[in-house]
Amino acid sequence: MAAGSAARVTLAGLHLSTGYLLALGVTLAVEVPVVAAFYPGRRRRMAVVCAAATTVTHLLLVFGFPRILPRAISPLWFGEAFATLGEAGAYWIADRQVGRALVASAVANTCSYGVGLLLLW
Amino acid sequence: MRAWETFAAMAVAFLGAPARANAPAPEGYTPAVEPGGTVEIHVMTTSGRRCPDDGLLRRNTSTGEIVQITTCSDDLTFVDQCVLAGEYQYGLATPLACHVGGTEYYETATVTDGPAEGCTRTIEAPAPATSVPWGSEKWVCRSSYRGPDNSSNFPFGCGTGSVLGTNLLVVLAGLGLWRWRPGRRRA
Repeated sequence: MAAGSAARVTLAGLHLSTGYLLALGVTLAVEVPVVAAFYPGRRRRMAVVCAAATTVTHLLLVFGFPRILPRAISPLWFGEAFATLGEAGAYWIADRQVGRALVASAVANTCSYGVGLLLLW
Repeated sequence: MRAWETFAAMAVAFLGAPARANAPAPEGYTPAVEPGGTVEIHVMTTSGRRCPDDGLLRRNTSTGEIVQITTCSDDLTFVDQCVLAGEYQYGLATPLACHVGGTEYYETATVTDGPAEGCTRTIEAPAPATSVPWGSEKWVCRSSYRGPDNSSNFPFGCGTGSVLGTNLLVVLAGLGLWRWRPGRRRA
């Protein structure tokens, strides 16, 4: 982390650094429009669903799984897979099209994963 | 430019090293300096390591003094009290393993508002230590698509390949289900 990331917010026992909050913002900025693009005519509704689901999975990815998973399981791989499938589940609940939900979620998560790596590079 | 594009551009401009989206976060430390010389150091790691691990080292960048901290406020946060004003490096005694998202040896914290005279610790005092496992280089490794991530202890790997491979499988499954609709009849 950069030295400038010392500032942080504590929410429900989680230490949310400015770096984390910006990372969440970038994730939402990438994933929400990608998911919305898969749902013409329902873009606004699915954008809201995406924002909510992504926020939950992002918190679990960074703060949840690293603490609860046994060491033999990679929190990164498990967290990313959970994010993709969990968000797809949310889209399926909202739209009832499982195939589209899986594709939208996987493409969106791949995009945000790639953007994250590019920013870090 | 749309609002989200503006936001993304600003984020890219301001983020720098700590930037990450739904991507492997850099592993390292977030120090929070509180008035009175108390410093909390949150260890950002997905490796499963837990406080106190092998202890956290604090190195005074001016004097070179090194101490070991072993008090935790939660599984991933160390607490240091009665720290005099100055600049310090905080890092685990056993460095975090190289991770695809980049890994720090230490993070620097500056204490400007030192403890009051006669500061009394409510936790165990740090123990003197002799050396830190880092030199002038702050990074164990930097994030890279290309480099190894020392993830051999994970059965599924910890790298980009396993994540993107999983997503590819989900896309293929989704496309298959998208094309196949139960009850759809051909003419």
